[in-house]
Amino acid sequence: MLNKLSLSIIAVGSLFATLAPAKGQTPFYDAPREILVIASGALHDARVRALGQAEDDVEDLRDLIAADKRRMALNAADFTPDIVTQAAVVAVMLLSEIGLSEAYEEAAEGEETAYFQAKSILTEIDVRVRAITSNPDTLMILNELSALMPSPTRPSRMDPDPEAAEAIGQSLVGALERDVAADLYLGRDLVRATHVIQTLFQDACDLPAGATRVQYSEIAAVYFQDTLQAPFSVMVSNATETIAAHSALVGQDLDLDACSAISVAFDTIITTLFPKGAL
Amino acid sequence: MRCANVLISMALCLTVVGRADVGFAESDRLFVSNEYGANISVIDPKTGPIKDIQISGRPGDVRPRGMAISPDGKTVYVAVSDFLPDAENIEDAIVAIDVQSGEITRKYRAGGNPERIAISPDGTQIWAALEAVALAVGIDTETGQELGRFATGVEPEGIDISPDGNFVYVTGETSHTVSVIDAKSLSLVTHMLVGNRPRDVAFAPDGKFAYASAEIGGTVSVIDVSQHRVINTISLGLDSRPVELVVSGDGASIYVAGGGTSAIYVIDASTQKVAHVIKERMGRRPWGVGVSKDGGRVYSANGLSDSVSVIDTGCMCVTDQIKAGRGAHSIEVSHVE
Repeated sequence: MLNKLSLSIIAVGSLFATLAPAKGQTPFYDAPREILVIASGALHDARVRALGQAEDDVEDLRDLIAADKRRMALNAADFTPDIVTQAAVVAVMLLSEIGLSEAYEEAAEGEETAYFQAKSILTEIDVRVRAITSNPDTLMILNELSALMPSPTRPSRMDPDPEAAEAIGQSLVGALERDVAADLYLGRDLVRATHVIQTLFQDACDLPAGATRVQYSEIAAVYFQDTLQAPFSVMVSNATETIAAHSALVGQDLDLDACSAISVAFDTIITTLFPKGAL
Repeated sequence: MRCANVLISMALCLTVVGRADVGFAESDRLFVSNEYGANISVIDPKTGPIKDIQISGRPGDVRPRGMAISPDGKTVYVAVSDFLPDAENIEDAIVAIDVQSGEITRKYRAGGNPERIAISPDGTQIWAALEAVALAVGIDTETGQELGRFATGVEPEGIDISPDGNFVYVTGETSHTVSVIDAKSLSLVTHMLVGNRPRDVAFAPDGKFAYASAEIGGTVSVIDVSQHRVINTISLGLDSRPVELVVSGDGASIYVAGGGTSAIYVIDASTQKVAHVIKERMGRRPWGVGVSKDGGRVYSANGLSDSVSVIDTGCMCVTDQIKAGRGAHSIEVSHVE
C-alpha cells in the first residue's frame, strides 16, 4: 500500500516529467517567454546594482533596466522552472544580446559602466550555475569567466579579445548542456526556432494595444535578434529587414501594419528557406 | 620545450621518443600561429620547437590567426589582424614568411580583420575571410593586386579553395552560412545554410565534397560541390564543439578539432560517421588541426594549454605534447625532404 511519502515522490516525479524536456530537446520550444521573464528578473537586479556604481553615461543602462522591468512583470507565477529551464535562463544571461557577453564586449572596448554591468551579471550567473551543477569541469569554466573580471572596477588592461566572455560563455553553456542533458540553444534547429519566434510575434500581435503587448513584442524582438536575424539577413534579406525594423530590444510595440508586414515576411522566409519544412 | 616537465614525464618522454622515431620516417615541419604571443612557432615534431617568428612587437594588440602554405612549400601566409573585430586597422594584412629563413618577405594589405586564409592550388591567389566587414577578398600573390571583394555571411571565418581552383567556400559564423565564390569568373554564386556557427570549411582532395564544421550545431555538414548543396549532416553529439577541420590526403578521414570539448573527432569519410573521439591526454581547447602528408600523424594547436598535441593515427591516440606559444590558434603542416 502506498504511503503519503510514496505518493509525494510519485507526484513530484510526475511534475518533473511534465516540466523537464526530453533529453536533448531545448526548453525554449516549450517555455520561451517564461525563460526570458526569469532571465529578465535576474538581469534587472544585476543592472540596478551596476547603476548604483556607475558615475556617468547611464542612459542605455536605464533603458535596459526599464525593458527588464517590463518583461519580468509578466506573470510567470504558475511556471515552476526545472533544472533544465534554469540552465536555459543562464544561457540567455550569458549569450543573449541583452546579457553578459554583450556587456563585456562594451567593457573591453572601454566603457566603465558596461564593466559594472558585466561584473554584476556574472555574480547572478555564478549563483545560478552553482545551484545547477557541482561538476568541477563546469565550475572551472565559470572560474575562467570570473578571471576576465578580477576587480570591482574596470582594470586598465583587460583581455585583448572583446569577445573573450562570449567564447568562454559558449564553453560554459556547452558544459551546462552536458550537465543537464538538454539542448540550450533555441537556434540549433533553425526551422523550429523560426516557428517558435513567429509564434511569439503572433502572440504579441493578437493582444490589444497596451503594456502587455509591449512586453510580448520585446520578448519576440530579443529572440529574433539573438537567433534569426543574422542567418536570414544573408539568405532572405528584404523580408529579414522588415522584421528587424520592428524588433527593437527596448520600447518595441507592434501595431496592425507592423504585424501584417511581419506575417508576410515570415511567410516569405519559410517558403524560401524551408519549403519542405526542414533545413 | 617538449616534455619540459622531466620529473613527471621522463618515462613518458622515453616512450614517446621511441614511438616517434619509428613513426617519423619522413619529417614534418609545424607552423603554429599564437594569437596572444603575436608570433609563429616553428616546430620539428621529432625534436621540439625550432624557433619563433615574431609577427609584431605588440603581443596582445596584433593577432596572427589563420595560415596557409604555398603549394611549393616555400612560403607560409599568415592572416594578421587585431582584437577589435568591428574595426578596420592598419594591422589587417596577410604576411608571407619564407619557410627556409623564417623572414617576413612580403605584406599584403587586406583590411577588414582577416581571420582565416586559403591559397589556390597553383599558388597564384590568396583568399581571406574578412571578419569585420562580411566580405571575402581575393589577392594576386604575384602582383599583390586585389582580385575582388565578395559578400559573405556575417562574421566570415573558415575559407577554402576547391582543388580545381574553381570555387572559394567561406563560412559565416553568425549567419550559419557557407558562401560560394567563383574564383575564375570572380563572382558570387550563392549562399547556403549549414549548421549553427560554422567555423571552418575544407574540400575533399577529389573536390567532390566539402565539409563545414558547426560549433554550436555540433555537426559537420557535407556539401555536394557540383550542386553547392548540403546533402548530409553528421552529428558529433550535443556536447561537441567542432571548430577547425582538415581532410587527410587520401580523403578517407576528416579530423575535427573539438575546441571547448578538448577532443579531436575523426570522421570516416566513406560512411560519413564519427569513427573515433580522441580525448585522452589531449591539450586544452584544440582550435587548429593539421595532418601529415602521409596521414600518419595529426597535430592540434591547443589554445588554452599553449601546446601542440601529436596524434598517431595508427592507434588514434595522443603520443606527445609539444610546447607552442601563447594562445595557439591554427596549425599548418609542411613536409621536409
